[in-house]
Amino acid sequence: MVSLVPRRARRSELVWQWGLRLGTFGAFFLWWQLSTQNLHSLLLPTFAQTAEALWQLVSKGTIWEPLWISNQALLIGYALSVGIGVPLGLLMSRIRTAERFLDVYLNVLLTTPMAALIPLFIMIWGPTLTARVVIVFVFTFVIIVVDTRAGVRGVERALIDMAKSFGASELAIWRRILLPGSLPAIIAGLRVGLGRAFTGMVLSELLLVGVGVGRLMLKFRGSFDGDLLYATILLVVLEAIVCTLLLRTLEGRTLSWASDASA
Amino acid sequence: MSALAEARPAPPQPRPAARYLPRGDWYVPLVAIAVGALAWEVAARATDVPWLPPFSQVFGALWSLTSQGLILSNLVASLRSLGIGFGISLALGLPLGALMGRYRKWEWALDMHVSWLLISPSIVFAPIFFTIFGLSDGTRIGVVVLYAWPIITYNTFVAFRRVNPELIEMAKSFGAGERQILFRVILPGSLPLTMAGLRLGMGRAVKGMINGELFVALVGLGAMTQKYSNAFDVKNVLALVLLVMIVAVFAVELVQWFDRRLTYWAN
Repeated sequence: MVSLVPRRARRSELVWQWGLRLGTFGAFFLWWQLSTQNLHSLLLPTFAQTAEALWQLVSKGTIWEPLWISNQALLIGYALSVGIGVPLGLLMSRIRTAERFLDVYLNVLLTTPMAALIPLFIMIWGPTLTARVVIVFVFTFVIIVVDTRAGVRGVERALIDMAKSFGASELAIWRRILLPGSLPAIIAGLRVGLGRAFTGMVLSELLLVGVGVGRLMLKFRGSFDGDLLYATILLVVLEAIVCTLLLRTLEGRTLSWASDASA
Repeated sequence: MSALAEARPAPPQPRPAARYLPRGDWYVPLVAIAVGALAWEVAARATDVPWLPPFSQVFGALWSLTSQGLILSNLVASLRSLGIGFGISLALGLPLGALMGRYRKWEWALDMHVSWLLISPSIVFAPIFFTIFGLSDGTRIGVVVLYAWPIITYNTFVAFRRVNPELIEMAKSFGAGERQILFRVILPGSLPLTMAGLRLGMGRAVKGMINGELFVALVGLGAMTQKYSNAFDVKNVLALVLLVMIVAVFAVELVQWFDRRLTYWAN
């Protein structure tokens, strides 16, 4: 991806590439298996035990309901972040005063560990869906605003000036230049935001609200079911990876379209 | 599987977030913060709800916590796991990223692992560290490493890969050896992007620190926050949130400062 000279991968190269990729995975699993199988620990499962537990969770269906409960907060919170964050980012990018004023807040919020605020939300709303939605929202929304704004800012000034000199209205500038030009950055922001939304979801459930996959993990930890605990974690990671990959596919499409448009 | 391999994260762009020093008019952020604090104070006094104490009281709570000596020991504990975790991330991430950038085989061996670690919400691994390290510092340090290490590795990898090959060619044709190329061309050329990775890594490390402490809830600022929130002590919780914000901004600003000293020539 970052190679500067595009070149065709030769067959032997592909063999090396995939051999090494799968090899390191294999080596990791082997190391996991070998380092844990003689421990006979309740909390440190072997790779084989974890794989079996994973199958159990999926085939018996124990995982689906907690996963659905967790994902409710994720879905609503993420939708709210996108619905509020993107328009706000667009607005900020065009109103200079608002931007200069809010800049410092965005920068501070971007580095602040939002997790520290979780106790406060639980105090206000109790261990409810609302609290979890708000937590997902605050985890996600800042990065979406920042990336949207960066996208609009990145649009070439000359295009806007030209459109203006040809008598384009503000609306036309938005529709024809600013929105299409900033779309790739906006979608990139949505992708990073999604990752953060997952963090918010898991963290809120692990810390204070005992529902969903977070509760399942704590339950398995409490009952010393290490294999089920590890399997649940793997499933959450898998879900995050699959969702991110889906968004990345979308991103790839808009990117190819954006480069067509600018060519 | 192949989709995952292609799913490498986009190269980090210099985000506006990376900039804490005010651009242009230095007083604008100060005014913004002052207005925000004032709005908070007024809103809190006007609404008078239990979960929104006035800013002045929160600041007072922070002051009294500090003067009672409750903050310092926890702050030191937090910064200790932050420092150790960030140090481990550097020690692992910089060499691995450099190897991945220089040698294809290292790249192929590690790129998928770095990607999936970057994509996944790192905090879900906290229970795993807990099963390994229990209540000891290892759990919290492990979380910090998992937050900071992947992004540092990834940025270093991209930085090394992006070094202009023409410069390397030229250095070679003027008779430079491997060592000279490494120290005179590759290292300086990769420094700006590597430092950007450190900055992002530090931001994430602070998050890892707090999240880990909230999860283990034994020592540190996170644990303190947990304690006060269990007692529904909003004033002290908000005071600690303020403190955490200040720590986060300072930690990232520290990396920025190093960055400016090391890469002043790049701008």
